[in-house]
Amino acid sequence: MKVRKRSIMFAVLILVIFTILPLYSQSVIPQEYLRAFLSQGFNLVDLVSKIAFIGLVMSILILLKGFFEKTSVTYLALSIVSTVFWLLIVFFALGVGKMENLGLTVISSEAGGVSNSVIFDLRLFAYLATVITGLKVVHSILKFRQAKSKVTQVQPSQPLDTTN
Amino acid sequence: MKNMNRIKALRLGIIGFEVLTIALCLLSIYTLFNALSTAISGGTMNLNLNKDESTGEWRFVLNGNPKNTGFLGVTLFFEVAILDLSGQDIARNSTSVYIPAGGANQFSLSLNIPPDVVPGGNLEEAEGYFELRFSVRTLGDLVGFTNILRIGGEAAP
Repeated sequence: MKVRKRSIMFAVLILVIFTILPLYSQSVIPQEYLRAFLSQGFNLVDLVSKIAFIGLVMSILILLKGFFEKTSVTYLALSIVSTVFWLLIVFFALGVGKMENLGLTVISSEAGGVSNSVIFDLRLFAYLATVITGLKVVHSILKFRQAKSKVTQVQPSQPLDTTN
Repeated sequence: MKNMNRIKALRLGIIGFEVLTIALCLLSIYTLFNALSTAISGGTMNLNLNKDESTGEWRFVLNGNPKNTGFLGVTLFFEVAILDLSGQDIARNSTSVYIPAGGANQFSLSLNIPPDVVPGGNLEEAEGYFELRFSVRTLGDLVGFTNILRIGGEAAP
């Protein structure tokens, strides 16, 4: 089974940027800063762990895509999964680590009888990213159908194996 | 061939849409932070708290002339409230002001605090909460930042 070199390189790059570097930087940041962020309602350790996990999943998806031909159904499925995963990353970034908030971030802290809440409303961009993801999925399907029809035109007599 | 052009057009459309979304996101965030830093900078706001000795009523007045040095127009919203210990409103007032890109606009917000809320006449000894809500919205009020500050005794149930 052949693996595209580009996929390996890209997967390694994503792994280094999103997983290895954040995990390394976490060990470099002084504990006092981490505690200070936590007291302000912002869990930096949790955020870094989530970024590292996202990087790992993303690099696996990219690597897997490199195993399959563009005409295979698996490639199409992986393309759609990675597109949806990018959307989750956008939700994650807009929600400052909380993708379930869909772009509405609330950071609260309380000390000495004073409570402070900060709310970022970036839901518009979460909606726009959802529309873009929908269009990208349609594009992936159209590209797959085009690649498949091209193969059929080249080899009309041979049966196509689209299982892998 | 026709199909190929359609796919290409869709791809270009998606790229254009992505670029536009990223540009709008960056512009909005820049404008929000710009408006925030201008609003809280010295000299932009003037806060007064005076007591009317004849009635015993306290008067909170917030005047401002914030500027908007961002690329998009912003709407600033200010709200002040006095709440009792159960979190119920005693007095509340709000105002909003639109500031075009590169412009400035004045606003004034006042709140009268009834004397029965301040039994001893000393505001620091009064029971209850003081709440200040400040919000900046841009891009047709679709994107925003809100800060709610509550100062007081025990948390409301």
